[in-house]
Amino acid sequence: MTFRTRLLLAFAPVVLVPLLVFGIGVRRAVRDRLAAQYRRRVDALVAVIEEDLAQRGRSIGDRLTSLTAAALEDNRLRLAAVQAGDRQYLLDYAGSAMRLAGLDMLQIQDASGRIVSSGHFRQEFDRLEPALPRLLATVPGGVALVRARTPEGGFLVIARVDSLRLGGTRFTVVGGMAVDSTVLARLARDTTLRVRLETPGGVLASRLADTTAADEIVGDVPLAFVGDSAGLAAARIVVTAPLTALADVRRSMDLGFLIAVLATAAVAVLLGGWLASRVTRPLAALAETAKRVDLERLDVAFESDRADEIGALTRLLGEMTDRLRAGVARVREIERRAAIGDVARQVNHDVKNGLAPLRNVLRHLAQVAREEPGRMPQVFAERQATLESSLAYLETLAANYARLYPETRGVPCDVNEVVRETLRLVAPPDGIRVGATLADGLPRVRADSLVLRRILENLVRNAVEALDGTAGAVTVTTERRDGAIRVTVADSGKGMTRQQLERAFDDFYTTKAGGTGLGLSIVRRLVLDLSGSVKVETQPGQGTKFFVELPAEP
Amino acid sequence: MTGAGFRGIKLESPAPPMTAPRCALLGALIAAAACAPRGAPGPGFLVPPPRSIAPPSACDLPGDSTAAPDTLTVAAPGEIDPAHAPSPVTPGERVLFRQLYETLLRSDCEGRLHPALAATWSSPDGGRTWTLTIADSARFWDGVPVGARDVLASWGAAITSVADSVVASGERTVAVRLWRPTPQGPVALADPALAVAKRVPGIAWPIGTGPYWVTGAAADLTATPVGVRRAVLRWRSAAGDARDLLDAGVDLLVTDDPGALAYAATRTDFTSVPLPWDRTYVAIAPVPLQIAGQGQDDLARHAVRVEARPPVPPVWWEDVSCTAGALPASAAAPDADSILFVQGDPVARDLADRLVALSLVAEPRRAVGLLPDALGVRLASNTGVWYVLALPRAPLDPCAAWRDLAARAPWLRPSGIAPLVDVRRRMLLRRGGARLSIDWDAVPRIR
Repeated sequence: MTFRTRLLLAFAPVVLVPLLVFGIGVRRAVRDRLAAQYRRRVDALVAVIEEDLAQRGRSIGDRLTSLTAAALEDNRLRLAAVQAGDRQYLLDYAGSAMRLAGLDMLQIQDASGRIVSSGHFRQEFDRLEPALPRLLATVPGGVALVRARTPEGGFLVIARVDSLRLGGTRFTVVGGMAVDSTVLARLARDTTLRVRLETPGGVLASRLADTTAADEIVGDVPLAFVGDSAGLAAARIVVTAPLTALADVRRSMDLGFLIAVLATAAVAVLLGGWLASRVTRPLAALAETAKRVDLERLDVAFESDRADEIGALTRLLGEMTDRLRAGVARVREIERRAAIGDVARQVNHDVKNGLAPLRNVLRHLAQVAREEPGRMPQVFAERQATLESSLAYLETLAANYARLYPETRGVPCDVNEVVRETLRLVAPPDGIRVGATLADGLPRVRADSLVLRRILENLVRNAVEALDGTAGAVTVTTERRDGAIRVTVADSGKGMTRQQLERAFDDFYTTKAGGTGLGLSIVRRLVLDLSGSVKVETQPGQGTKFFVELPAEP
Repeated sequence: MTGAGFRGIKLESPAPPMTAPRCALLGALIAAAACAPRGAPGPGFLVPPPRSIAPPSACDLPGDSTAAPDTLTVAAPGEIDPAHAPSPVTPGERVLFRQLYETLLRSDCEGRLHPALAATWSSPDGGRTWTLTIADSARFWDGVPVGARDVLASWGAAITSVADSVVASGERTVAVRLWRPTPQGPVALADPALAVAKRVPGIAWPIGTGPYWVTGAAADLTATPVGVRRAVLRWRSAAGDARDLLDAGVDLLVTDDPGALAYAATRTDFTSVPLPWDRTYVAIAPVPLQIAGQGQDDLARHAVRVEARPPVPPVWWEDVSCTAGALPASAAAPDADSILFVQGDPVARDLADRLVALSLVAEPRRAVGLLPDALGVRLASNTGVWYVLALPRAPLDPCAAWRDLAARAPWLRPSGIAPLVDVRRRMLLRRGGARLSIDWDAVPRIR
């Protein structure tokens, strides 16, 4: 995980956690307050319904009192009810009285519980239903919810019972007002509240679409209920405040909160990214610079004018690189001295090898001159070849050692010009193409052009020889690269194995017959002397590329 | 209130002090009532027995000849639609069309045949084929004589309910081959559905042959006598409170509204004339039905608020010669939770309510009124299971009536019909009104 990612991950909780805590707190406070408000509304409506029921009960009672008073004055009714007179008048009486009294249900029963007249269901006369007035008489307050029969079905009424006595016979009068969805809807004028009437037979709601919500505030008004069974049952008017509105508020809050979180998160990410970038960019640049440092390339500059830790780190790295550069120079000097020692020992050995035949010939000639002067010309002629061979060996040896360490002198030098000059002198065998791709406007490098040409001659010759006489191409490319000039010598030859590559720059290591094993070693030393670096990329069968990078002149 | 109760026409009037003219009128009506049908026919006679052609008498109500009015205002229940003419649909159309359109024969309240458009009729084969000769005097309102082809054109397909073939055997002679022999005469041809008329493009009312021709729209109809001096008929809609019609000067009101009848009983200028029991309300179901006599008595006396009585047997749908092919009713009725009736028929509603209230039929728990068309659909598909319907109490041709009923309810079997009550209407006649005759279907005809 990168430092930038860590910074971002650390930044997000810092911004989001307070926001989450704030949002949850607000959400909870709103819910509690709204729920309390709904509770007050429900309680208020329950009180209103209780008062409404009581008022309806009183109103029904007053109307029944008036009806019974009028019935007592009606002689035709008396004749019909007591003397079995005008039966049709009796049967229609309750209907007329019910409409006049503004009731929705009216039933007159005789002492045996036989219906003698019914206003809401004229044809139910002669039915025995003694339980209804009896049960109503036992209800506290005298008011109960009754399921009244009609030909079309049934309907619910708030009913109470009264009685009158005609001709010594007691008649009970049950009257009531309908309770339907309209009545419930009128009670539930607050559209956020719902009223439903629950009876053993079912549920009557203030609105058709009303259903029991999973989350609601409930209040109820209990009622006695007289249904189809013989006893009293329990019913209740239930007031509910579905918390759907609250849920809507919560959903809106959640949506707003989510948007705020997302927006804040986006801002946090951008801000964190910006901050992390400001913090990590110098570190990344420092890392990029440090990545270029190796033993062959210690001219990397670590410079910073920052006063913070990054500036200090940069300067520390610069100092460390300086110390490393000094150490490398000392190591190279030691190496050079060691190499000179090796060469001296090698020269000693080689010269001795060259001198030994000469000494033997000279001793032989001295012996002949001393003992057989006359054979001198003959012997000289016999040993002349040995003398010349030894001298040639020594000359060759001298030439080779002279190439081993040429003198360098640093002056501004045009790399492209040296490449062109070098390639002009190259005479490749048939089938081998030697070409160059030179970048324009390259800065000069500080070097001895002769040294530079030796470097290139060695590399080009090595490349041509790598083709091993087969057709192929050798390409020299120049380019500018990070304050340095890179010269690439590529061939399409046989390439090198890993083992060959590891020893490619060793002195006297060669894979070619007749090779001295000093070409690449000399190249490496000359490049290092120019404060440059040399690298190799190679694959067996894929050719080889030598990269020589030399510091460009400012 | 005094009255003379007979099996046929019953005359009732308020009980003012008897005056001489009133006594005379009452006597005439009592005499008319004495000629009413003699109770139920014996076993095997499910239709009115063969009757001889007799001069009109018992079904004629003599008016107050001393004060024949120039205009007679008439009202009866139901809308008037010229498109129905000459076949009436509503009671009001029955009364009005009876004055406008004629059948070949006329059957009076006792079932006796009288010449109408046809002057004579005879059968060479014991009553199966009848040849009827159109009277020379039979003419349309436009003066064109009525020919045999006019009769056939007017009948159209309607004749197939009573006859399997009909031909114009002469210019004024029609030969009808009935579905079954009726030795007492081709009584089925008195059905108003077979009244003769011709339609003329551009004229709403078909041209008839009756003593009146009609002008105007439903709200303001006037029937003018053709040729003979009669009172002009002004037709009033019977919608609304029938008592208002009496107060508004109606001379003849056909009604069964108990409020109007009670009100008329308090008016000395009106006479209440009971019309024959013309309808039987029945409960029908796909299962065998039976309503006990006590239940029928309860229904007739208390449940319905019109004049009703327990049904008087026998009933025509038990005529095995007509219903022999019908299958027995099934044993059980599925989903029988409703009993259906025609919306707007208070008698049917009272009966259905009472059946529900007392569970005289066990299953139905609700009474539901439907519009006639909707009820017809339910009846045809038998999805209502229980129905309360009004049937003609004594159709001219019981077999034709059965075919008509079976066409409406293909699933129906005779055992699935339970008669509930017989009902009738009354005529409230302003004293000094026109002379009337009562036809077989309790429809008054102005003489």
